[in-house]
Amino acid sequence: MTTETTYQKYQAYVKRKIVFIIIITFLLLFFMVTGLVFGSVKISLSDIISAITGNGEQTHIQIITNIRLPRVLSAILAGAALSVAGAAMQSILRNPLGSPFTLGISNAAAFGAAFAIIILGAGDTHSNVADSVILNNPYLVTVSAFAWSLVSTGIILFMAKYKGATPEVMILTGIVAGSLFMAGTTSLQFFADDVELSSIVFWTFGDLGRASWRDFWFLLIVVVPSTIYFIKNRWNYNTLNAGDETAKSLGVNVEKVRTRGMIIASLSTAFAVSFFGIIAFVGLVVPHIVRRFIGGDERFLIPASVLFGGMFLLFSDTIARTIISPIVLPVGILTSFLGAPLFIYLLLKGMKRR
Amino acid sequence: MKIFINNLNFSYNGSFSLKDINEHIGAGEFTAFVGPNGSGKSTLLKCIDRILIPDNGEILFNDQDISNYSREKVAKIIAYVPQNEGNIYPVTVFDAVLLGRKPYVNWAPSKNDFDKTAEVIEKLDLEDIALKEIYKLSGGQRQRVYIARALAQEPKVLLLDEPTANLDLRHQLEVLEILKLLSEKGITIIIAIHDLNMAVKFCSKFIMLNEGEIFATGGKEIITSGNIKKLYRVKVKIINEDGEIIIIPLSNNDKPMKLALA
Repeated sequence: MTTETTYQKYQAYVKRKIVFIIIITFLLLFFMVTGLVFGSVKISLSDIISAITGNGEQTHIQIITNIRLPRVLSAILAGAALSVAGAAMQSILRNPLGSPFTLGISNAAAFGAAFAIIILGAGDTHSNVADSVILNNPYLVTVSAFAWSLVSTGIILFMAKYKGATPEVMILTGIVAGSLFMAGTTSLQFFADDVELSSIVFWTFGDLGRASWRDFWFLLIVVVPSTIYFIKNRWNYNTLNAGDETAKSLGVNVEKVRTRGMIIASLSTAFAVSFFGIIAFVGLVVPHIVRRFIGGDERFLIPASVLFGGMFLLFSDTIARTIISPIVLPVGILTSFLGAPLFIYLLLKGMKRR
Repeated sequence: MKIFINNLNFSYNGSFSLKDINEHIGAGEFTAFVGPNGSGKSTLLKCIDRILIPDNGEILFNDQDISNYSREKVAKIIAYVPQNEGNIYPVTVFDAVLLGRKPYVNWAPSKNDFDKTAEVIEKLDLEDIALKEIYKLSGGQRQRVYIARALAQEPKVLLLDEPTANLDLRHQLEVLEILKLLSEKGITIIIAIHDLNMAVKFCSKFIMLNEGEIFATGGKEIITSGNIKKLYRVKVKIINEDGEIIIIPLSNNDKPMKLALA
């Protein structure tokens, strides 16, 4: 085989990965349309187009532009943020169990948000269930969620850097930190009044029902640059997969890449969690599903996880909205029901392969 | 590329791992670091590649001090193959070797990077398994992949920590033959190795390390039963057959093993 044919064979192999990414992009677009069509009220595609262009029925315009469109777009962004954070964390920590949820970052962010709402007074409480907390100061909630998520990240990075913790110890630390923050959230609930309590419990479910255009723009500002950052660092993550010493010998500043990656992954997670609560398993499962199809090369895994994550959460949310319509389930419940057995399946498949 | 190591010290948690190392390695030389476990062989290799930063002292490459170089710049000069490496996620041989182009890639690899990768893959006879995932390969094939990745870096100096560990005899020979050929092409090669017979068969220079200090340095003439006994506390018989040196370990009479065999 000559140099040209080795390269050509590799190109053909890479083409399969690109085809997968294209398919996911089309599926994402398909689920976007389905997400807009289905709901308590079914709206046809032509009515959606009329509503978006401002020519349709007033009710349809209201439903599409004020409720479904921001919800669908926010689902894509939140799913992308959690998945890309999970994919990056799995590489950064060289651990297949890395994700915002397993590392306790989601719980820390949730605690931070609850802390801002109850202690710092960043949320007004209202009695209607679907929108039981109106955040009068979303900045404070997000800042608090991010700050507390950094505490969790800091503990993990400290264990990694100064105590030479193995990836297993880091995950265990994350689980313990997650439990601690969950206990913190529970304590806040204990001191909360009835309305606050129901609000926080409902909030921790992980729900996209609160998605507004404001949330979408906030998420967009964070998720797009952090996704670009992770895509830019895909080569560095490939070297980290091969081990710290190899990464260093290939010219990578391992400590810098690891610390920055974890902070940016925490930021993405904190934004998603502060707006929508804990949406479990997306960050853990999505990179593993993608790896099944296209392997562990981060050059393709990271962008594919972004698209697949967006698609996965959007699909889950559409199901959550329609499965027992008119009752709308919080999407966090559905991702847990879907994600947990899926992860066990992937574990079993992985064990067989080894 | 010539390497000068001057007054190098490295300590870990307050205790010295390397003490006053002064050494010179010629360009294109195939050098072996030998010595018992914990003698500092791997630490010295890592200090040379600046994976570990020495406490003091300097390492010059062709009279150039690289301590102020960026990691990327160092990676274009020195390549390092660690003893144990396992990619935790499945990647193909081509992808693993392509990673060697990392110091040259900015946003995405160029056609030149792909060509260089394919070229190295063919040189090391890996083209038939180029699209195979590395976890499916044998130990010998995997070691060849890691050497290929290091060569894709186009290094002037290649460092390998125990490149023949866990390999059967045929694969040990194969790996060392590749390294010998590379040294003949001008790449300075340094390996840390336990197998003295293999080291003597292939290497031209030996640096014997003991408790972080240089015990002896030189060519095959330093491979004597006296040096080996002092270094490993093991008696050996050395046979020189037509210039080929064979080291046969004898039973350890000084300190017999106390095996609790009933």
